[in-house]
Amino acid sequence: MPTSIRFNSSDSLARITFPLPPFFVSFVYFVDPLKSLLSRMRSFPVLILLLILIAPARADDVSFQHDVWPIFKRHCIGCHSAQKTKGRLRMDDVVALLKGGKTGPLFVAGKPDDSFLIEQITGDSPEMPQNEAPLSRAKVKLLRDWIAQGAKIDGPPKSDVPPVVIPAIYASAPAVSSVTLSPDGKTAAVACRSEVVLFNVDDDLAPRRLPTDFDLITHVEFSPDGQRLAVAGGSPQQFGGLILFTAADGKKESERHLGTDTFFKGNFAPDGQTIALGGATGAISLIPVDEKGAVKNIELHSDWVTAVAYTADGKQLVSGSRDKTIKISSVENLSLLRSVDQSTDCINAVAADPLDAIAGGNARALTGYDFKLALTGIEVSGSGNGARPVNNLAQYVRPFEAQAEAIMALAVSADRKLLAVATRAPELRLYDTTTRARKATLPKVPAPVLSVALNADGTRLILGTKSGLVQVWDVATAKLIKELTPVPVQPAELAGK
Amino acid sequence: MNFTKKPLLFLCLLLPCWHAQATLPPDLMGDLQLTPATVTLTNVQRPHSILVRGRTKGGYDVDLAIDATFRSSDEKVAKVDATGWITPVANGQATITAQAGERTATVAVTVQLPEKPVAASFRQDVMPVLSKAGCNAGACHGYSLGKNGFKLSLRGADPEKDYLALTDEFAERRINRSNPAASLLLLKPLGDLPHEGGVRLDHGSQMDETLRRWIAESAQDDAPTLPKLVSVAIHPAQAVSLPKTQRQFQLVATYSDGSVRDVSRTGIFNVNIERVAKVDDAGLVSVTNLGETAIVARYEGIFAVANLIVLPPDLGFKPTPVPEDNLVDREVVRKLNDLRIIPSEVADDERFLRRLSVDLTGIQPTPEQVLAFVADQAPDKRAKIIAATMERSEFVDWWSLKWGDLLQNSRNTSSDRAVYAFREWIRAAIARNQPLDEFAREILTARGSSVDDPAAAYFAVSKDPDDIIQRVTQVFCGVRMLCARCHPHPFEHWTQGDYYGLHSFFNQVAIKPDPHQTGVLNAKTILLKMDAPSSINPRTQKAQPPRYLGGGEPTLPAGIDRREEYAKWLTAPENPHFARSLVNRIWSYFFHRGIIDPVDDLRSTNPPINAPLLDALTKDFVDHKFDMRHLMQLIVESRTYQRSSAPNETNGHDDLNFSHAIPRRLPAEALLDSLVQATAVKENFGGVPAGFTAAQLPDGNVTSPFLGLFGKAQRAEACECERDLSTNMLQALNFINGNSILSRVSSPTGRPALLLQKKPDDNALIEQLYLWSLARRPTAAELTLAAKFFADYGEKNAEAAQDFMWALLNSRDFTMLQ
Repeated sequence: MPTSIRFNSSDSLARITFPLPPFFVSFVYFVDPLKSLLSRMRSFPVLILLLILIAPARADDVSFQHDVWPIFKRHCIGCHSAQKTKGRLRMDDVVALLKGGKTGPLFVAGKPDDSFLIEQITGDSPEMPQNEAPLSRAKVKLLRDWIAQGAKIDGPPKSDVPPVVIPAIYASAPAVSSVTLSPDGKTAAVACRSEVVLFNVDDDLAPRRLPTDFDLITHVEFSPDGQRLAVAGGSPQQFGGLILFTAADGKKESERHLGTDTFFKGNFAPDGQTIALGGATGAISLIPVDEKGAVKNIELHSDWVTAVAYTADGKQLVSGSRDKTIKISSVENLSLLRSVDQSTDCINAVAADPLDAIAGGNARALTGYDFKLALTGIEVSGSGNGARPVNNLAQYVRPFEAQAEAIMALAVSADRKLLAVATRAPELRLYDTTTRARKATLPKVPAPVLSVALNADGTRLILGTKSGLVQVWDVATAKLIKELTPVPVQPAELAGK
Repeated sequence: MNFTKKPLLFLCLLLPCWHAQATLPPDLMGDLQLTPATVTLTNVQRPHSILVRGRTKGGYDVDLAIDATFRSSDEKVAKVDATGWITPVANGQATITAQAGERTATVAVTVQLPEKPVAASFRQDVMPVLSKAGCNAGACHGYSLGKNGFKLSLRGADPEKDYLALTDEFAERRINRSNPAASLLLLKPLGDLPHEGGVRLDHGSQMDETLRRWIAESAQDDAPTLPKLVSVAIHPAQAVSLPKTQRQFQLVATYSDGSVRDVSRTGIFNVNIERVAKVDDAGLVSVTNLGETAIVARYEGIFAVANLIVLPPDLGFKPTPVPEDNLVDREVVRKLNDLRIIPSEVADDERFLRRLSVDLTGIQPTPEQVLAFVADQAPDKRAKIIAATMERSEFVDWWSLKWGDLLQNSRNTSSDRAVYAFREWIRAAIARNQPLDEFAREILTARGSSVDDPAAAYFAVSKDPDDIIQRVTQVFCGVRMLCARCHPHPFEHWTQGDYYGLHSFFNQVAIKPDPHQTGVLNAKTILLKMDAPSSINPRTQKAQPPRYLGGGEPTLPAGIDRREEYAKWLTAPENPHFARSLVNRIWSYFFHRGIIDPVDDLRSTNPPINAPLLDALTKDFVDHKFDMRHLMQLIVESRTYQRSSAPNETNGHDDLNFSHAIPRRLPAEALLDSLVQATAVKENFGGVPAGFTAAQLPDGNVTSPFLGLFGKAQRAEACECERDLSTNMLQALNFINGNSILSRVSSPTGRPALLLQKKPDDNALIEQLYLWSLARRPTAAELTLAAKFFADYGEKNAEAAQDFMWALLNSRDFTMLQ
């Protein structure tokens, strides 16, 4: 007879494709409990004996960490975790798991038949896992046994996320996602994936590498007085973080982890006491440099806030988002003031000159919005988050010349009269914000440029590229002062096999 | 991966006395067949599998891979594993030998590795993984807005965009080249970070490894010189199998540089009929039941289809001699012999005549016609009655109705005058048997108002070129193009380029109010904007010049009616769609299904049940200059058409291959017209001239609950599915309790009353009632039963006749073609 058992390589549960003699059926359903046995008993002959002699044995004590958590991880946490807490239930955290969701506790220790968890995963068409095949009988049995044995937690859920690794030498240069210049233009800091590299513009001393425990740094910025270096980012889908270094010696002052996803770009307040960062929940986080100060949030976008900029007086914030909108909010009231515009695509960068909010993104339009006219009067529509200016867009919009490619980053000088625009095109343009006329063009930059910054007086410009290069330019002469790959790179040979 | 070997080895270890090797079929004959016979391997990351097959005396193909052992003549050149996967090692030649029982066969392997190892390719390696894992499916990141902020092109239609989405958005958020294991692209689908789409990859799987390797190799984009995927082939293309067996299918991709690659593990397999077989992720098919199914494999938007026939064990089947006098019978019987099915006998004269009459004219024969035909002793009387039936006026009514449905002639979209004019135009075409190519050309190039050209009403139905395209392709090509408007067709290789190529043929059409009939509802005229440029393909944002469906892009002069070029191409004898789809469609009007079914969803993934039959009929149809009557005659003259619905021992399970007639319900109009003829009580339709039969109605816009209940097409869509031929409880209740039958049989001018005027004896009355109701005479048993029924009513003869006719009309013999 054509019999064959097929093993699913990952969960080691046997599936039967053809009828088997009864002995093999019971054998198959005991594979999983026995697997845990196998892992503890190295001796193969003993296993054979066990298989043959005591195949229908009592299930061994079920371990939460080894047996239950892998099932939750595979089938449940996609919807019931810190990131997505459907039914107000989290299963990736022991305290939350014991608390249960909106319908109450998940299980009654010792009583699988009275447990909501078992009710949800059994029956003719089980409620859970939603939109997926029901759990196998072996997995259901395991969960029942675990509850029957008292639902003991023998250890916290095990993470399989690998730790951050910072290579001594990179095989390929990491993209330079953010750059900053000290106010005097002499020191530069650039973000290379998980580390920040500090170097002097005017000498060739070896750059200084500052490792972080972030998978991805999204924003680096010197404070307006040049004393501090803020490094923001985090690990995607895990946490957001902010580290403050002392600029002079590269010492870590403080580190905070916040939320469940990375921050995006941000901006120091003009007084240097707070940094505003765009977040994945659609909020702007206002984080005081004082480690003990409370973090404030302004909830205003419906998608990631990709960029934030303070106005010169520090009273308002301009923000752009993947929700395609550009918004102005009040720092004092922590509230939305106006939704000034809606682009056709993601906004990547914002800035504020003395008169206008400026934004650009994948739609390739670089646009200013007159603060005064945009903030006069308000029309509230929908939930109130759509607060639109009373004036027509045409009255307050201040367009710049068209850009050839998507706009990736903006930077302004301290007086906010000079604007640098980084795009995917191989040139970098500088504008006078008063006239919105192009002032200079830095030619032949390695595109796409992901990041750009100016020093306080706008005499120096730094840019970082997707290919991992950093360039520092003298703005007045449009001359390249320095070019480097901030981290050591040695391309690896392709594995022969 | 071929999983089957592992557990068997495992069992072997457990039970030393257990034999891993299943015994080979004892009646194996001939040599082992290995696929491929020769192969050139050029990439160490791309191993190639071997299919090992044999054939038994009974004609079954057997997958012997599980019983086979493999060895390489030179392990330094090429290695082979226990499941028959060959991996290249170093340049040179090697021979792989497969052995099953005493038999051996070889594969000649040439290894030509490039000097430098080849990096993983985004398009050739990564994109297939994204498809296979379901990442770019419509319900996941392929959704038009993406999911959770991550958007891929639907089913991988746009690799350039997908490359940027993975490597470029938000500072390389989704991949980490320096620490591949930390990439979101792996952590999410592996389930190591919460992923609402569930676990899509297993740790250590080939898909996991491929993504990991590509990221580690710096997530390179492909060079523009990367060879393109040209074709995908599935092996074996055809297999005959016993039930309760397994067989491996092999999927091989060919690239523009001539290189081949085994993609069995990354292709996506489906079976069309799951009752017959199931298929796993890697092309291993588990055959379950008797029958036939297509195995459809998809790889990067290209489809390959294999045919699997599952036969019972051979118990001395004697093939039916293949008839050579009728091409329908020839091809059908050939196929049935392959399937070990003996066709049923031809139906008796009365059942044949009723079937023929309903199918060709939409009404059952009168008693007079039945008796004359039965009495006719001529050996060629069936051929004669076929020719005569096609000359009847009801033939024109019936086929004009069909074409009216397909062309959607309706007062909902055209003026009253235009509908009648188009109806007359169609009737004239049917009456003179206008060749269908000419018919289609005149329709597709019609312009002006109904006064200028009645066929222009065809375009008046559509609101825009998109609607025109859907109708034109569905009716005249049997192809559904709607999907390709927004994304590549999910079951066929049509792209947006193909769609907008068609669009450019029809975008000159402008539908304006008819100046001849100002103020008249739905009065329209068809104008042409001769200077209309090519349509814009929204994906590329570029103009897409006219492109024939599955054909080239002709150079067309400016200022012409581009529809004319399209119509010329469409109706050319060599056109792959037109004749084939029409033949299939017309076939379906005489059987319970098309040779391809549904008839207006032709695509490579929906293969014909009998390709030689469709090919032969298509060729004959083209050879006879698109003569619709000739085609119908060929079909109805065949024994295949004339077969009884009574199955024999061999064909009871077959409902696909036309081995016996499958009872069909009469279409709404045929049912009503037959009922009117049987009972002699007319139906009054509102809104049309008095005396119209159901088949003569101008459109679906009439008040007739009866026709609605039995699924008359409303002509709102070009889909054949608009006509509902199903049976349901409401229909049965209407027949039993409703007035459709009851008031007719009890009418003072109804058939029972008319018959009784002649004071017939019971037997004559019964025979007449049978003939009018069911177009046949009663059998002896039925006559005895009926005579007893009449006797029970005693003097109440009229009541007996009414009740009896009511019962006959409520029987399956009336509602169905048996």
